[in-house]
Amino acid sequence: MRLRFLAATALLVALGAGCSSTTAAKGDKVRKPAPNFTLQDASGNTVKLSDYKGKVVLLDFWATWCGPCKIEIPWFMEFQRKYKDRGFTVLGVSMDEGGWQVVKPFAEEFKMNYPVVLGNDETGTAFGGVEVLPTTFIIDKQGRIVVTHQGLTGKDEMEKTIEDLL
Amino acid sequence: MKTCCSLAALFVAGAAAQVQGIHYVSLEPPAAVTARRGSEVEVPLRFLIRGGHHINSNHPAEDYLIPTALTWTPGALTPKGVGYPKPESVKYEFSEKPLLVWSGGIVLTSKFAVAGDAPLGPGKLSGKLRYQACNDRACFPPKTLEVSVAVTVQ
Repeated sequence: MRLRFLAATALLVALGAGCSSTTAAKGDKVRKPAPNFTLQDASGNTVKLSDYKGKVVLLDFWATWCGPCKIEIPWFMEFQRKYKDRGFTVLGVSMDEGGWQVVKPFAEEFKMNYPVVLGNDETGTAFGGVEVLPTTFIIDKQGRIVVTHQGLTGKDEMEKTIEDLL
Repeated sequence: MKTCCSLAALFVAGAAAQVQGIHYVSLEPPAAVTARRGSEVEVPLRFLIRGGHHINSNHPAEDYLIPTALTWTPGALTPKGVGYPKPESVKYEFSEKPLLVWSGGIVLTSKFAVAGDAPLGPGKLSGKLRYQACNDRACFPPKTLEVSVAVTVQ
């Protein structure tokens, strides 16, 4: 517990210093399974992360009030256009407290071309606590987390990971 | 920067679940307030914003941003409004235009009316500061900081 607290503090200090963080891409043998979740999209359809097994998934925790998230969303739309026919998808998890009332108009305005679901505390906790937005997980075809990005990070770095996994 | 990011990367896994209660704004211990019946009283409070972070002003530059708001629970004293300082205009890498934010320390001054028949003696003012913090690379979920100020009505 003490170690986890120290880890949390170190993370916040690092983020407070103005940097973002990225875990090193994990090799095939040490990747851990991404927690499954069951959430709903704007039309009320049930979306499970496990539905995407067999695809490379870029899982993006974001919110409409998050400026850095708004920089990344067009990148993710580009990834979706470029790689969706090669076994890839972006899946957005909005952490907005305002729900679809705020998320739906935003998604329409941005013309988001990938599935978006509404997250909750339970989802965040399952992924280790999503206290930083954006937080992006890149998940391999076996449903395992390869890399985690917290805060605004590099588009090229993410794209290289995706291409390596496809 | 690289060292800093590497350090953070070492500690990412499993850490954030422990930080849900962490605040990016703190209240400097406020001075006790003395209020006379039938008068108005101003209560300045100094809030400190964590280094390297900013919070949106009470009127952010963009509609999508969450404004900072100090609200009070009506009690022995009646809240009559809050005075907010002028924000800084800062351009961040993630924003198309400059944002109106506060960083460092800010003083919010609240005004209260004291009724002619307000109960005499000690009491407290209870309020909440709602804010949403970011740094130049990331944002953090909205937080509510409980605020309490000792007051004596004379």
